Parts: sequence; structure tokens; C-alpha cells
Amino acid sequence: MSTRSSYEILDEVGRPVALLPPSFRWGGGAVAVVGAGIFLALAARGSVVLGTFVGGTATMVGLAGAAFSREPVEDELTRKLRLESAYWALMVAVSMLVGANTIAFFVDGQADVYTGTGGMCAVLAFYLVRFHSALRSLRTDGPEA
Amino acid sequence: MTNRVRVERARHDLTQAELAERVGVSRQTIYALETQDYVPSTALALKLARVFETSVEELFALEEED
Repeated sequence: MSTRSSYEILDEVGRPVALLPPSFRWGGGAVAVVGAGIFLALAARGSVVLGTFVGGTATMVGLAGAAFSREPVEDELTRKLRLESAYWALMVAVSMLVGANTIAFFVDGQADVYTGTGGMCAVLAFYLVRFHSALRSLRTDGPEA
Repeated sequence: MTNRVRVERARHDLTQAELAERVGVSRQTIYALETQDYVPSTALALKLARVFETSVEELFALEEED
């Protein structure tokens, strides 16, 4: 089972489960750590923008690689845990961003509209579109028996 | 929902890893089933029933609160 490619893994109703190979977990983790190091090194020299672009992007790509790599045995429990983890992570990220925005506004008089907040709004919007379109297709597909 | 997976597995003298291999899931999934932490899909319930040569109703039962 562990030797199959990602696209040969099917869910309960035969749809392919698209995930990266397992090696991406450790490879992505390494890239993320290196990226964080680059960010810290450049930020310490005062190059916060360059550090965010190079180090931050590398960290994000590395974490994405680790997050979307498949387990040696990918089954229905793994998929359930992935879904629950994604939902939990989204809720925590939204809470943290709302808190950070509130502090930034009342303490510094600033608001992070175009980066973190914009990105989070996009993620939530994509989630809503995907979820409701899938729900709608289940409600409308096929004649009623 | 409760299940008799642990009892049936012992009756058939299978390890968790062997049962996992036969129904195509991870050993962790069998463990989660046996500790009643996970309710399987219909497909997995049917596969387990086939391995144990019993019915799904014999293997799984609803509880009062279900």
C-alpha cells in the first residue's frame, strides 16, 4: 500500500485522493526550518521585507508540503482527522488574526488588511464556495426516488 | 455506537496489523475502532463483517443515545 502513488489511492466511492508523496513531510519540514532561519537572519539585519519574501515564502511552501503529504497508509480515519485538523486550524487562525488585528488597531492605530486578513478572508471565501457548491450538488443531483 | 471488533478479532486469532491488512486500513484505525473512538464507514463495516463471517448488525450496535 505504501508503494502506490498518491493518485492511485481512492476514497470510499472511488474518487482519487490527491496528496504529495510521504517524503514531502520531512523535506517540507526541512525547507520550513531553513526558511524560518533565513527570515530570522535577514530580519536581524533589518531586511524584514526581503526576509519575509524569501524566508516566509520558503517556510509557507515547506509547511504546505508537509501538510499535504500522505501518510504511509492513507485511509478513511486519516481523511477524517485531516478534515477535523483543517477545520480546527482555520478556527484558531481566524481567532488569532482577529485578536492581532484588534490589538494592532487599538494599540498602534494600524490594521493588517491586505496581507494576513486578506488572505484569511480569501481562504474562508473559498471554503464557503466549495462547501456550499458541494452541498448544493448533493441536494439537486438526480431524480427523487 | 458499540462494536464487537476486538472480541471477533480475538475469536479469529488475528492481530490488529493482520486485520488492518485484510480490510485495507492502518493498524491505528483498527485500534480506534476497538476503543470505540471511531465509527467506520459502511464500506469498512461491510469488509470487517466479511472477514469475521458475520453480519454488520452482529458486529455493530446502536446505543440508547444514538
